[in-house]
Amino acid sequence: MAEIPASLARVMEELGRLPGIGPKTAQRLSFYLLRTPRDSVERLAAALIEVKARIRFCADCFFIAEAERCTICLSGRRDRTLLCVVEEPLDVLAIERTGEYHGIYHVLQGALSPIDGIGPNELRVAELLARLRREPVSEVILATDPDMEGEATAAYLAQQVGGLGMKTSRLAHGLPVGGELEYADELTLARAFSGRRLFQ
Amino acid sequence: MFLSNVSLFDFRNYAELELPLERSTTVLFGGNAQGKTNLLEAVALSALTRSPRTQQNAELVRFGQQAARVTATVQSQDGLEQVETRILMPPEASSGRVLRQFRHNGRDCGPAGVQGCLRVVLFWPDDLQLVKGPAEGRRRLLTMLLSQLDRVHARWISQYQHLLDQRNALLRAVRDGRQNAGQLDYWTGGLARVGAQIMVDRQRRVLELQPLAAAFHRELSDDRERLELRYRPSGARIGEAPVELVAQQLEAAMAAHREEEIARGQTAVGPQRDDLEVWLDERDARQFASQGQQRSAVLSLKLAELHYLAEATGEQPVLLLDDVMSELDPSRRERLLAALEPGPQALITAADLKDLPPSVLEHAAVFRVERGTVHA
Ligand SMILES: Nc1ncnc2c1ncn2[C@@H]1O[C@H](COP(=O)(O)OP(=O)(O)OP(=O)(O)O)[C@@H](O)[C@H]1O
Ligand SMILES: [Mg+2]
Ligand SMILES: [Zn+2]
Repeated sequence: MAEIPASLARVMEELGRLPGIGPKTAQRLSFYLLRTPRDSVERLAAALIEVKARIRFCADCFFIAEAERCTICLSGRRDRTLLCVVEEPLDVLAIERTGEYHGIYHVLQGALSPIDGIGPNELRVAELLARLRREPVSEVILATDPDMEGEATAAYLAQQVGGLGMKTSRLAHGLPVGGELEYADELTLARAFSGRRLFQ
Repeated sequence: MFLSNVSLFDFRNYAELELPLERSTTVLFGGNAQGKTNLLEAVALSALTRSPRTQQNAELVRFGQQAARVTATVQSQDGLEQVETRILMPPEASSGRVLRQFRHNGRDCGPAGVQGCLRVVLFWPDDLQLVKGPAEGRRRLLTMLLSQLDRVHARWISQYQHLLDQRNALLRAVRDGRQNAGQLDYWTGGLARVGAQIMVDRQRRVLELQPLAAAFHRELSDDRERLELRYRPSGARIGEAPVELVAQQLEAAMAAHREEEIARGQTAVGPQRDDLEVWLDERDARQFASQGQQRSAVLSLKLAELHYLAEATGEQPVLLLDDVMSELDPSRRERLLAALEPGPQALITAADLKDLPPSVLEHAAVFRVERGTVHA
């Protein structure tokens, strides 16, 4: 029986570690890459290495950044009294596309999910509270996903933030229940911002 | 409504099956472990989005295979509809979960997109323990019935299960010192709100089911016995209370059980602890009902389910009778067969054709089930 050469097996193994990619898909992708011209494979490899070298998470808000701080945090044109809390960097991009929001962000890098062992300590919650203590924020907009984990996370944060004495509000209007922010269309998301309601 | 075709691919012990069905009764016979129950399970899965037999979706995929598919074609008031359910195993060596995917008329959708296209009433040997067995069986009866009538209820059920899994995981983490008890409140509120919706629905439906079940039982007992269904919600008193009030009661009950919940790593109250008691002549049938009384009560419940579904939707559901004819004495069997008369399409399994009365066989399409194949 013919054996798979070690170099090819390594590619399959590495691809198979990626989320959502099983052994079959890893094999298919590996053989696709073998058939692909050398220069495009080199471009892919170089792009991966470059992104890893250049991109990191912003030291303040944990959005993606090419320096210590992200372009949003560094911008002089943002309203620093408004802070929007989201689960993932992709959520920031979705909100930015609406053009409706001019405040700053805080990316939790996930949501509470006891099944997956994720509690407040596994999220950027302590960093959020520290920021709120030192920055001049007057309203915190909780824009976690409208699913069960997102709701629990928002309720938890509302309590924590409430202790600091600032206003908290929740995106709600029209967002599909059980959905993910990242997939909400721009109009719905824009409406969700203007229709946000205060947390009791 | 009637099921005009069932198509299976790598489901349980079926590699591939294409089974066109008639509006009349279909009889499936064959020896043990040949695939009779598996076939009815596939039909029930199409109606319920979950197997009534197992919570472990992986069991549904044929041994050694990666994915199972069940396609049911249904002729109803709404025309011809196709419900496709796929169960996908996670890639080997990954810790991913087993996925369920749904298609309605060939288009991808969530479970809500297929719910209600096909409605079934299932009566199988497990049901003979319905009266005296664990409450889980009686809760399942309610969930199967209500989910088929009301997509919103089906969504409450799956949201509740998900929140319950999260909260129980948190209770265990708190017990083991991995997480802080302060977080519990944020899961408790949501769980209580969804749980209250389920309970209020259950209460209303049981009140509507009750007179039907009582009437069938009166008839089966020659007018001698009075059957009553009593819904026993766990952690709340429902009565006329609005949902918000029930949610508050549930939340308070969870707070009151907090120590116990943490120690056991399990939520102590809520719809997952409800019961539906069957009472005969003012006495709890769990304690004293004879074999015969239990059988009558179960049959009454099943006939009530059938009639309730038909009345509420204006359409006969499909009746799935798995191996129960041989369990019933002639008079109860007669009563069950009478229910087939005007109406519902029935799929009936039996180990042996001798278990079925000639009156059924006369008008039925008869198939033999053998090692995951079905032939005339
Ligand atoms: N995932 C699976 N892959 C392959 N075979 C399976 C799978 N799950 C169950 N089976 C097989 O299906 C058989 C049981 O089929 P089923 O329950 O339909 O039997 P049956 O015809 O109803 O028999 P009985 O008359 O005893 O009730 C068993 O032999 C079991 O090993
Ligand atoms: Mg069987
Ligand atoms: Zn930043």
